[in-house]
Amino acid sequence: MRSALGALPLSIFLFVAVPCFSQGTTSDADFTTAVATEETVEMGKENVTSTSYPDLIPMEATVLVIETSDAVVEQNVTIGNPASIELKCNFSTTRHPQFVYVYWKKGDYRINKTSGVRVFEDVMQAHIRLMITDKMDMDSYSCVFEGIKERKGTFHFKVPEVYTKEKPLVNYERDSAVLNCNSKNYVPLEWKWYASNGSEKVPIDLTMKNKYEILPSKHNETKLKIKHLQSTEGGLYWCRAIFLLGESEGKQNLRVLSYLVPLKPFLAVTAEVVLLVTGILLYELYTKRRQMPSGGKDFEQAEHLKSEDHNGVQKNNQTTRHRKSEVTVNLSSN
Amino acid sequence: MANRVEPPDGGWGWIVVLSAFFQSALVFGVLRSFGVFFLEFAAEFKEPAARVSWITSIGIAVQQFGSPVGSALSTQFGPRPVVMTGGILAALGMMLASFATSLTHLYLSIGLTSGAGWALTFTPTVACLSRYFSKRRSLATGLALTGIGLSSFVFSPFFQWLITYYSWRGALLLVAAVSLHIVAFGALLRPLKLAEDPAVGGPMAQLFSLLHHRPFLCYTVALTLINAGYFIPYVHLVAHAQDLGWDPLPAAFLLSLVAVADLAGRVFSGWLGDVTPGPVARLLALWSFLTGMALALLPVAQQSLVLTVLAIAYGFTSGALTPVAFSVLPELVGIGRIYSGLGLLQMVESIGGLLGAPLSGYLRDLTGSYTVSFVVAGAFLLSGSLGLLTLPGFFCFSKPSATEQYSMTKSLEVRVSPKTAEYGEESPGVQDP
Repeated sequence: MRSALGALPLSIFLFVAVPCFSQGTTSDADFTTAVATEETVEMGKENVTSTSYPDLIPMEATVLVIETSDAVVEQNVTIGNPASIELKCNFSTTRHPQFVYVYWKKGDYRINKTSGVRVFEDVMQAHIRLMITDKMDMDSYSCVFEGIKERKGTFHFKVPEVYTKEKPLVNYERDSAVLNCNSKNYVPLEWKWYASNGSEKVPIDLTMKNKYEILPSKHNETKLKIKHLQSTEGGLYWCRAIFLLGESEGKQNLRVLSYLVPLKPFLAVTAEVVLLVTGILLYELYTKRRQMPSGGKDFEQAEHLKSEDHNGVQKNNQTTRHRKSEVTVNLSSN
Repeated sequence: MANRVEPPDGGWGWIVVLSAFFQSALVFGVLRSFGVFFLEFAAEFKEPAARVSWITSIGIAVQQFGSPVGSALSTQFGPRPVVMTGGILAALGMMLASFATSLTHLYLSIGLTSGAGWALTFTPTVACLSRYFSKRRSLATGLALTGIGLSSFVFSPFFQWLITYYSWRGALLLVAAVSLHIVAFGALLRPLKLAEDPAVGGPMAQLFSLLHHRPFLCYTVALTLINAGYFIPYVHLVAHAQDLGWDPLPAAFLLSLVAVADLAGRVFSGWLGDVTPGPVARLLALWSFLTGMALALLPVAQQSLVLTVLAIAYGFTSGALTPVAFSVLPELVGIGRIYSGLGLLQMVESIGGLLGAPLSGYLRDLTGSYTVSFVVAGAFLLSGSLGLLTLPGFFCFSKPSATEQYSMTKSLEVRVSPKTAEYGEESPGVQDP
C-alpha cells in the first residue's frame, strides 16, 4: 500500500504529462534519466521524491521480430502493481542496424522518445523503459521497424486475471453456498461482488448480515457466503478485483435446486424396483402353479414358498423333516 | 418336494449368473467407484483425504467381517430374503448419507449401514451360484465376477456426472436408488434344495464343523496369504510407474490395461477350470504362483515395454485366480456348507487384504521405492500357492463328482437325520426350468 500512496502524486503528474509524449520534448538521451530530470523540472508544487521509484517493481519483456516473416508478433504482459518495465524487441534482419529505423507506439499513437538500441552478434535489439503507474498506462505498446515492409512486435499490458471454479456450483434450497475468487500471485486493493440480473450487474448488499457474509481469507482471494438459498437466487455472480492499474472480473455460476429435483428420479427408480420384484415373484408363483397338476402338491408348493420368507425361529432340520414327512404322505396317498 | 443330488448346471442357474453379475457390480463396482465422492466430501467437511478414505475402509471391513452373518442367515432362511434385506440396508445407508452433516454421519451411514447391506448381499449370492453349478461352476463364477470390472468402467463416469448435475447430496440419493436394484436381482435367487442340506445341520452346527475341518483351515490360511499380496499392485502400480518417470495419463492407462486383462483372465480361467480334470485347487495354485512371479519380477522391469507386459500378466493371472478361488470351496467342504464356508473364508481372508496394503505402504516409506513391497507381495502369493499343495486330493486326477462330495460331507456331518437314507433314494423332483 506504500506504493499506492507514493504513486498518487506521481499519477497526478503523469495525467498532466501524458500529452507531452506526443510533443517531442526530449533528445535521444537515455530514457530513464530523462524522465527523472523532467519530473523534477515539471513538478513544482508536488513534492515527488525519488522514494516513489523504489516502489515500482522492475520488470522486463522480450519479443522476437523476424524481418522475413509475416507472422504477427505479440505478447501479453500481466502487471499487478505499478512497475518500471523495459520492453525489448529483438529484430532479426540482414540489413545493417545503422540503416534500420525503429520507433515505439502506445496504442495507435507514436511515442516521441527515441528508442534505445543495442546490437548483438546478428540481432538488433530495440528497447524502451516505461513507467506504468496508472490505468491509462495499461495499453498496447509496439516497437515498429521501418523497411520495405513495416515489421512490429506488440506488448499487451493486462491486469491480473481472476480465477474461479469453471464448473457451476450446485446447491439446494435452504442450504448455504460459498463462492470463491482467487487472483493468484497478485493482491488487489479491493474485492467487490455483483449478482447478475439479466444483463445488469447489481452490487451485493453486504449489510444484510443474515444473508450475505464475506468469509475471512487471504488478500489474494475472496469468499462470499450466501445463506438460506432460494431457487430464485441462482445465476451468475461476479467478483471484481480492483487494482491500481485497472479492474479484473471473474464469474461463478450458481445453481439452486429444490429437493424435488433428485427426489423425482429416486421415486421413479424405486417404483421400477418394486415392479421388478413383484413381477419376478409373481412369475415364479405362476410357473410353479402351472407345473404342479394336483392340488395336494400345490399346497406343498405354497407352503414351501411361505416357509422361505418366514422369519420364524424353527431349525432348518425340523422344517425339512416336516416337509419330508409331507412328501412321503403325499406319495403314499397317490 | 425332493432335494436334488446334482446341481442343475444350467437352466435357472444362468439367471442366477445374471443376478450374481449385477450383485457384484452393485457391491464392489459401487465401492470401487466411490473415490469420485472423496473430493466432494473433503471440500464440504474440510477434512483431510486420509480421514475421508476411512468411509470406504469401514464399508469394506463391515462387508468382509459381516460375511459369516450373511452366510448364517442364508443357511437358515435361504439366500433370497437375506439378499433382499441387504439391498434395502445398502440403499438406506446411501439415503441417510445424503443428509449427512459431518464425516461421522458418513462413517455410520455408508460405512456401517451400507457395509452391512453389502455383507448380506455378496457372499450369499456367490454361494447360491456355487450351488447351482457343478460341472460349469468355475465358468459361471468367472462370468459373474466380471461384473466387478465392467461396472467400475461405467460407474466412475456416471457418479461423476451425477455429482456435477445434482451435487453430492442428490447424487448419493440416486446411488441409493441404483443400489435398490440389489433387491430386484436378489428376487431372482430361487433357493435350491440339495441333497446334503439336511445332513449338515443348521448354521451354528456348520460353522462349528468347519472350524474342525483341517482342509478348510489350510485353505483359509493359504487364501489369506494370497489376499495379502493380491491387492498391492492395484494400490501402488500407478505410483510406481510415476516413480519410474511415467506421466500420469499413461500410468492411468496402464491400470486400465490391467483391468481389461483382469476381465479376460476371469473368463478364461472360469472356462479352463471346468474343462480341466482334477481338483480346481491345482489351477488356483498355478495362477497364484504365476501372479507371485509377475509381482516379484515387476521391480526388475525398468523399460516401459517390459513393465507393461508384466503388469498385463499380473492383471490376467490375478483375475484368473478369483473364480477358481471360489470354486475350490464346494469341492473342499461340500455344497451343503457352502454358505457358512464362504462367509467364514471371506472374513478370515480379509485380514490378509486389510494388512497387505498398509504393510506395502510402510515398506515403501521405509525403503523409498516399491521394490521391496512388490517382492514381499510376490512372496505372499508364492507361499499361499505352496500352502495349497497341502489340500487333500491335490495330486489326484479325477474331479470329485457331486455324489462323491455328498458322501464326503455325510461322513463329516455332526448331526445325522434319521430320514436321510430314505431321502437319497428318492428321485429328484421336478425343479424349476
